[in-house]
Amino acid sequence: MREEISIIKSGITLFFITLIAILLLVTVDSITKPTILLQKELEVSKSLKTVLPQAVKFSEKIVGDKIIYYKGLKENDLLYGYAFISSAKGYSGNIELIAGVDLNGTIQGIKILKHAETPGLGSKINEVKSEKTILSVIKGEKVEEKNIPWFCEQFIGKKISNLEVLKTASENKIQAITGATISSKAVTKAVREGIKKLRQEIK
Amino acid sequence: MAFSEVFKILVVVIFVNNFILSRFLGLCPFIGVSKNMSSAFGMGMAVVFVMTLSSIFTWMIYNWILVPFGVTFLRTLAFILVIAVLVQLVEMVIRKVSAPLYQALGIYLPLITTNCAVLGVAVLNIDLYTNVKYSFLKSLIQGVGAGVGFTLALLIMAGIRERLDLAEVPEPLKGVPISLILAGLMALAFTGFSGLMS
Amino acid sequence: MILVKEFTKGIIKENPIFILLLGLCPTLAVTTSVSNAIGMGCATTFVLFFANIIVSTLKRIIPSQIRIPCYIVIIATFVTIVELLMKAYFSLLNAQLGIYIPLIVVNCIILGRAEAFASKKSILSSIIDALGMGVGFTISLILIATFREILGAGTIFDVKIFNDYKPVLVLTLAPGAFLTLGLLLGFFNFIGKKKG
Repeated sequence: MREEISIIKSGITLFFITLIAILLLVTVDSITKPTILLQKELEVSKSLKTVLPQAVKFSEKIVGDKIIYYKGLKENDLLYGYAFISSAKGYSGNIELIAGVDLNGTIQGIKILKHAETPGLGSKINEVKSEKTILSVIKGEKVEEKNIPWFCEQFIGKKISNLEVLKTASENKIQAITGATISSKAVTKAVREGIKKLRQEIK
Repeated sequence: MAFSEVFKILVVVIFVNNFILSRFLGLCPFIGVSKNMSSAFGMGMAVVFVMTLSSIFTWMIYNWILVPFGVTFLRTLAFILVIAVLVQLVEMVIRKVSAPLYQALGIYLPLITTNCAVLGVAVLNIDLYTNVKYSFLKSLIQGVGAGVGFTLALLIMAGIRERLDLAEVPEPLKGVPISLILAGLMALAFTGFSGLMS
Repeated sequence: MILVKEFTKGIIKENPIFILLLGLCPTLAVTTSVSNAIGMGCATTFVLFFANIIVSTLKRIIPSQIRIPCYIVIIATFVTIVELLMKAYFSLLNAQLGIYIPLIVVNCIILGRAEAFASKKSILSSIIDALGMGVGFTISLILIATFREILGAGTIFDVKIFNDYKPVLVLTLAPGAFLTLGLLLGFFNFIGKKKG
């Protein structure tokens, strides 16, 4: 009898502790939810601004049959270009990116959203070449800071016909990252396929 | 779902992203139980069993309860409770089925609850396979595969350590340090698998 | 004065990583950069702090036979709070630390301190113990991360140190993590033996 009572007592205690825990979590969740949503929206608009810098307004996310995209508009609500989300299989899993093109199909910018490529190799697709060194920080020098990964930067101004990966430096093709050809090809493929799908979608 | 897809998931979770050697999950038992092959194998099998069941139950709880009610933030709490209950059950089963194994595993059996790998695979299933086709099957396969990869790393380590007992290890490195260094060499070898899937 | 000892033991004598060998999983994963190390250290200390307080407060109410599940529920609650706070206010760090944030719940340090200390000692002692262990954990993480980031990536806080240094990449990867920790542990063992 005593054993049964103690088991029931234990069960009730655990139940109440869990109940209080859940109530506490629901409270914290409701407090942080708006901020979390805001963060997500800020990230989206930051990405859009990066890949379509010339656009001042963006449409809501449009979920098409073939591709997800946003319209980029100028001040007078004239259509300037599109930003689309595309992905391709990289070295380790999918690489997801957002890319912006103007109405001529010229790429305005790309930004890697998600990737799991090898650190130090494939991850260089997202690496920003910083010229800052400890010495310059201590001296308080002003160093020109780029915030676009150099691999992504070379896509700007190119069209779908330029989207071929070469191992050597090239003015009008895409140069692969040394030792990370697969990652480089994946990003290029994602942009290329994305433009194709976008064309079919907006026809 | 094609057999090649299943094969891909297994190869990735067992070799390319081995839970111990690449994701650092499951280290405590790795260092504690890998002293000889038989207890390593027993532990490995227990972990495979728990991981498979927990992959199933955590998937169901996440997709059938947490998501519809909009309380996905309760995921950590719900998952760890499911795992704790499963480990209790496994403990009772092993005690009845094989007393010597129960003795050999000792305190490391209840410690499967706090094994980062078990909770890790549940969380990873959600991260990788939500809103994907065949999400349940993929989660299940990853669960089994993660356990197999864990067991594999454990067995290799046990095999090496059995031989290490006969070798001359410098005093400060004896025990955990040399095991970690060995794990590092194993991890280096497993990095060779990185290019397998393209 | 006894309280000061309770605090400092977490840093040296009973250092959670190097002496107690607890919490190794996140250690190897987040020490790729010093900023990640600090972030994880703070998050873990947060959970440790509150978990110790609650466990110590409720120590007479929690029946012994279900104490482990109760501790787990308490710890999981604070880990979830950390998860939500990070998603809301530290989203960059959140993305870097990834799955290792929910994995704080199975960080043996927290459950270990709850079981071995907070369930038996006063609330004040538990607070000091939590802070000491948390600080010790964070400092150890920073130590390993400094080594791995400077030599393995040539940066600190993502700022390059020298312009021409070719980093030893493997240190930022899994094998390097194991090797670094193994060698550091051996080193501390060596120093420990020398001291007598």
